[in-house]
Parts: sequence; structure tokens; C-alpha cells
Amino acid sequence: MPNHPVSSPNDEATIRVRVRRFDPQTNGQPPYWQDFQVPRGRVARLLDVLQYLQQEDPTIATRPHFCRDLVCNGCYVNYNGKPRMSCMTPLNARVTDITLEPLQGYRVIRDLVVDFLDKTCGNSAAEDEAGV
Amino acid sequence: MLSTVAQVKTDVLIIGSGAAGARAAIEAAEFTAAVTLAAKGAPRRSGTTNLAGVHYAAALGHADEDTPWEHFHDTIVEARWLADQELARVMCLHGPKSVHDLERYGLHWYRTPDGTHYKQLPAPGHSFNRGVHYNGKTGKMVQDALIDEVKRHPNIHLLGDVFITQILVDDSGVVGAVGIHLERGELLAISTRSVVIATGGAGMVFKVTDMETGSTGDGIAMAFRAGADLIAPEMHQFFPTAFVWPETLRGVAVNSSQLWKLGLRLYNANDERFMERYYPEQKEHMPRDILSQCIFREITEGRGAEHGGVWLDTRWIEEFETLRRDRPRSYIWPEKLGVNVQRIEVAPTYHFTLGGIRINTEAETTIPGLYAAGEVVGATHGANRLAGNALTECLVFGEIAGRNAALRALSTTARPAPEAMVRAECQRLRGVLPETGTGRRPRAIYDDLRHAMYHNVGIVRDGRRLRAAVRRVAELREEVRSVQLTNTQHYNVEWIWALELDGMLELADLFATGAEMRTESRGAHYREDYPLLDNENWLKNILVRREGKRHVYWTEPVTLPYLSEVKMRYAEPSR
Repeated sequence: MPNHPVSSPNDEATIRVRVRRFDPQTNGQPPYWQDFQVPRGRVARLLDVLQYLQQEDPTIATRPHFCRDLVCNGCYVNYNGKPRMSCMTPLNARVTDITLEPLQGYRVIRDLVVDFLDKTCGNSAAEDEAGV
Repeated sequence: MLSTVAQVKTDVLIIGSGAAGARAAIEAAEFTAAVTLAAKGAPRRSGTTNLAGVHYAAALGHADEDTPWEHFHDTIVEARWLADQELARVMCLHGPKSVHDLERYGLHWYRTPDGTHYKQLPAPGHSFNRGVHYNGKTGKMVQDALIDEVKRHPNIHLLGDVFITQILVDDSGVVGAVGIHLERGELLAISTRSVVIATGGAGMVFKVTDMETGSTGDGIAMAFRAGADLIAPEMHQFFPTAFVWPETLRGVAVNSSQLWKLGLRLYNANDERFMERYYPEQKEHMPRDILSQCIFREITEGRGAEHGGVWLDTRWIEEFETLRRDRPRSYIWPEKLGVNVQRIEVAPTYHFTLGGIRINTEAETTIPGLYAAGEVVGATHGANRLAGNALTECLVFGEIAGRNAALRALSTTARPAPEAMVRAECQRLRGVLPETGTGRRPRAIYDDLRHAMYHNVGIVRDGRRLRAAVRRVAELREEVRSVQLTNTQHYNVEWIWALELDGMLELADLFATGAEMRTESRGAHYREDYPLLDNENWLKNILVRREGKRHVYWTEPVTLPYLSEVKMRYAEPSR
């Protein structure tokens, strides 16, 4: 069995999450990074982090629709530089820093939302690597 | 906000890119119609079709002597005789053909070892082995095959991230639609004479559900606003076994249809195999509605385990280890989050919206030019749906809706969407998405609504709690007028929640009111204050329609054109 990923709710530890923010439709405003502290006890997998951020700061764009059950492939993001299906990414106790960027290989709509119908690279190498 | 309006022209507008919508698009395109297939999320990666479990019910008779008529018989009996027999008959007779359609689109179903026949699996409530499948990925494979086929048609315009908010209707029927282009924050005025609603169910109206998080019933609410009849608003199916722990998995179904057959057992906190008490003979081998009620009763009467569930014990299943390796998503993955799959704590989760838009066998709603297909439709499954019948319904009625929508579009002249109606919808949207609201944020109201509905209009109901739910919904509807929203035009997630919430509040009121009207217990609808089935007074459906601002409810007797001798298959649980 892997490490038990769920900390006790009393655990005050936090995970530092850096999020790449960008709105391509706002001319002149370049991409920037924003930092968040996410309570460990609230997140068992990466999908929980996305939901937590969206509720804490509703100005962030993440896709609000997902299956939570490892099939839809709609919750993909770049996690520490690599494409990951966020519902399939457990966060064990060793995780202290997370960097989130929109999934590579697709046109960015805003922040972590990409247009899955608009691939920017010829093949979906990013996802092939992740085993989609 | 929403100051620009873009014009879109299409023969057929299809709302929703799941199984029913995608199938409708293919059919309409084959009839040469120009089709716009609009989804509020990312097509292929959104909707509940992906989540459909193992079974696709179709009486091919590859495993035994099954026939479509036997399928029809099972569907009606398990529906507790409340299903529309005409709709169920079409679903069952067309089911086998739809299996072949999917194979033509590229879905290679599991076959017998010699490759000559489809493999067909057993499931509770089905008298024969009826479930064709692609192991644990059936729904995903159906969705993929359909979107692949959609992309082969140059006359289908696939449009993601567009939230359709209103169907425009005049005396002649459908004349257009209005939506929001979420990325640009711009209004779309769509001119069309044919609209197919295929937006799926409304699981998100309830706090615990295994549906995709976009299943907010938008299409049912939209049809109701446009003046279409809805049927069976009180009927909502719960799936008996879903994770209750860890929190991140709460509501996710433990796919167990096959486990029943293999010998799964349920235990309460006292280690009692409680189904023996309710049904000494059948034990756990009971349909979804009865299992859900028995499990819920164990939990509410204080015999629930640590996290408020009961134990699903797989240790009695000899083949479990094989099944576990065969279905890593269901039985190996949860171990990474701390679940012990030999003994899983489970409780019922909202699974399927049995009620919805009323259609006839041509997939026509009561509004000319407005069609509906899939879970968004009501009465196909009556008071309880059989495993595997959901996908079949989507494919069968998607095909019919797509064909009829195309034929109407090709034989009528399109006009631009009437400007006054577009302006009126723009005005309505300003109320749903207020610019200067100072109240709570949409997500908070959304969560409150889901909590109230799960506890008051869930598996076990009574008049007092149903009336409380109606009152609570009215309060929340008042509150939502001053909802506070993020100020951005571009992919504003709070807009999505506010738009969804608008429809959910509309539906919640109908669901609770309908449930209060039905003063008996039948299938998925269980009233503590009316615990008995009442064929004398309630072999009928509840319908509702909007006339101006009024909601008009009425009942209609179930017609029994094919099977007329009403016999129940199970005794109701001893109360």
C-alpha cells in the first residue's frame, strides 16, 4: 500500500500552490504567477486542489465540469511541468509545493482552461506521455 | 456585460454532446442538415455518458434466448408499471440495431472467444444476459466512438463552451435559440427551426451524486421555460452503492451490477447481513430502488458504520481477484486513497433522473420543432430504471430526434432569430447574472440547495419535509437575485454556476412539489407517510407545464397498450 495520502483534518500544514494566470484576450497583461496556501487536510488528490482554488478565488478559471472518476480526461492540467489527470493524482504527505499551468499542447482560453478542440501542436504528445 | 450579439445560422441545433446529442447530430447530418452541436463543456470530455458503467442493454440474444419483447417486459415490470409503454417499446425494439450502429462508428464490443457473438452479461432485473459491454469503460467507449463519428461529418459544427440559455418559441413552434459564448462572454443569437435537447439529467440538484458535475438539468429547465410539458418530476433514481469515504470519492458509484451476481454481501455496523431480514430469499439480489431504500433505512435507523454507510463485502466473491485486476479503475485505484476494497463503506448516491421532458415515440416534445432525447426525457423508465437501459435510450431516441429535426429543418424556411425575443432573453440574463449584486456567491447558494434537496427530497420522503424543501427553494430563489459575481467577461466560472443555479432552482421546486403530490410509494419514490404502493389511485403520471408565470400540474393515467395485467415482481419491503 502507498502512503496514506489523507492527513487528519486537524493537521494545520499547508501546500504551497503556484498558479499561472493568463487571459489572452486582455491585451498587454502578461501571464503572471499567483501563490496560494491550501490546507493539507482538505485535499486528497490534485482535483481537490483545483476545486479549493476555484472556491477560494472565483476569479480563477478552471473547468467546473469533471467526472471525478478517472474517465472523462477533462481535468488535465500541467502539474509541476507534466501533464496530469488531476483526479488520478493523489497527493501524499511529501508534497509541499505544487506548480499548476494549463495543459500543454492546447490553446489557452484563460488561466487553467484550455480549448480541447484546438490543439496547438500536431499530435497530442503531451497526453500520449501521460497515457491517455 | 453581454453587450455584443453574434448571429449564428443553422438547420438543426443540438444541445449537449453526450450519447444522445452526438447520435442525433450524426443522424441529422446524414440527412444533409447543417448541424450545430453545442456543449457547455468540452465535447468528449464532459457529460455523464463517459461515466456509464458496464452494461449496454440490448436483446441481441447472443447469450441465450433473449428477445426485444422480453426486454420490454422486464423494463415495464421493473419500472413498477409507470413507464410509457410506447417509449419503452421503441427503446427495446431498436436497442439491438443501435449496438451495430456503434460498432460501425468504431466501438469494438467484447465478443465471445471465437469472435462470432457479442458477450452479454447478466444484471439485476434483467431476465436474460443482455448487457453488451466494453468492460468498465463502456460509457467512455460509446462517447469516443460517437465523437469520432461526429468529426467525420463536415456538416456538423462542434461548438464547445457554449451555454445555451433559451429556446425561442412563437405560435409556429421553435424559431431560434440564445446562448452565451463562454470564452468571449458574448451572446449568440441562433436562427434555427429545429432544436434537439440532449443535456442529460439533474443529479447536481442533490448533494450526493455519481453524475458528472455539469449534470444540472439545464435542458429540462429550458424546455419548461419554453412551455413544454414535463413528466414525472418526482422520480429520481439512487444507485445503492457508492463510496462515502474518503470525502473526495463521496458519491462516486462502486460499480456493482456484476458483483450482485457473483455473491456480494452487505453488512451493517452490527455485522448483520441485513438484506436477509428484508428479503430472506433474494437477499442482495434486488433492484436498485429497493436496495437503496433498505440501505438508507439501516443508516437512518442507526445501524450505519463509521462514515454513515454500510459495508459492501467482496470477500465472499471467489472471482473477485480476477475482477479486481480486470477493473483497476474500480477496485485498485481507490486503494491509493486508502480504501480497503475487500470491505468498502457504501451508501446510495443520486444516479439517474427518471422524470423530464415529455416526448412521443418521434422524440417530439409538445412544442413543434423542439425534440428531446436521452436522460433529459421523462417516463421511459417509469419509477425505476434497469441497468444498461440509459445508454440504449440515448442512442435510440438520439437517432429518432436527429432524423425528425433534420426533416423539419429541411422542409421549413429559416428566419433570423426574432430580435425582440433575443432582447427579452438578454434582459432575463441580466437578472440571472447581475452586475452589482452584493449577496452571497453562487456556489454558496448552490451548495445550500443541494443539501436541502438531498435531505428533504431524497431516498425517503414525507410531506412535512417536502413542504419544507419547497419553502427553502423559494427563499433561495429570492436570494439568488442579488448574487455576487466575479467581474470578467472571459470564461467566468461564476457565470456558469449562476446560470446552472437558475435552472436548478426552477427544477428543485418542481421535484419537491411533484413528490408531495404522489401520496403513495412506488419504485424510486418512497414516502414514509404513504409507505404502500397504491395501484388503485396512482397508476398515473404527474405532469407539469408553465403557463405565463403559473405552474400547472395534472395527472394522466398510465396507458397499458401492450402489457395490461399489472403484476408486481417483488413484495414491498416489510415496513
